[in-house]
Amino acid sequence: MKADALRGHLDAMILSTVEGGPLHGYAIIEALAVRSGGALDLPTGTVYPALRRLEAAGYLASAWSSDSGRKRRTYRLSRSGAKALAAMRGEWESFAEVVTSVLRPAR
Amino acid sequence: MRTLRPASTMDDMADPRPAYLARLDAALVGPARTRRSLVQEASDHLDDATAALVRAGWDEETAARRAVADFGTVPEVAASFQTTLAVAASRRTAWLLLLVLGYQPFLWDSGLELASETHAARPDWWLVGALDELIEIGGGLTLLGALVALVLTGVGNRWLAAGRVTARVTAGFTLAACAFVPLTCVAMTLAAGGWTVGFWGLVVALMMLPLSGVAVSARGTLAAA
Repeated sequence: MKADALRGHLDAMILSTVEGGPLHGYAIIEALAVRSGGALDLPTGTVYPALRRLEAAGYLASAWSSDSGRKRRTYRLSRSGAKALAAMRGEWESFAEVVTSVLRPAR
Repeated sequence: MRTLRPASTMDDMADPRPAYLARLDAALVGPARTRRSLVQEASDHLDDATAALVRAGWDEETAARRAVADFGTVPEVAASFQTTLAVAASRRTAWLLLLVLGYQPFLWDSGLELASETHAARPDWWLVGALDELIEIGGGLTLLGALVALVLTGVGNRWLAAGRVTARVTAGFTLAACAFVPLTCVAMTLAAGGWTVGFWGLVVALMMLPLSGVAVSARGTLAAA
């Protein structure tokens, strides 16, 4: 799968990874890699600015928390982030439905 | 002159993370707190990625090298982090501009009422009236501009990702505001003529010096963008 096509939906995918609870950056990137089956092949360092942008937008909230004796920045989905994720999901499902219908082989 | 550091070079060869993070930190320009937290996150990520690979059976050195390679080259990661820093710098600049402009009405129209002090000498001269209008309109637009910059670099990211262009425009606008506001106030004061040494002291302390600080922040934003 073309990585560029996936990158266009990076925001929705990031929001989706933290839907289950707060995660730190590495865990978010790991979840993206696992959920995309390794198809989301981008330098992992470039995901952090996306996290900061989503935080500035009010979709994520972050805090430094202690994990196994180390302080790490964790991100959680905000209420407006959850609303945005639901909207992004709806848009994607409608889009995918239309494209699937059109691309279905003619009988 | 460069000095040879064989011990640290050996260390760098064994574990590339410290040298990578040092190069990344050196490549970044912008607000110190945001820069530190970004580099700290990068460091945490590299430690986590290395530990995960070690758990998967890799030796520590190879795992660290793989973690650094996966993270991205310093130029590509620095370019990406720099956008975050430029936007953070522009947001700080917009807040400072808003803060300093926010109390100007108290300084001029209510509270200290410096405007009435200057208008008292020639209240009916057309130039005083024109400058008064210019200050009112220009000041209002400047406040509006600072608010727009705050929205664009905050919740505005929901619709359009703020980047270096937004940061540069915010910094340029702020520098223009930092010149416009004092210049029009000085022009007004000289035109109206009713000033004292104490008046200038207040203008310098409460308007010109704070705006100089805002201009320094705007220049820092331009450097980050």
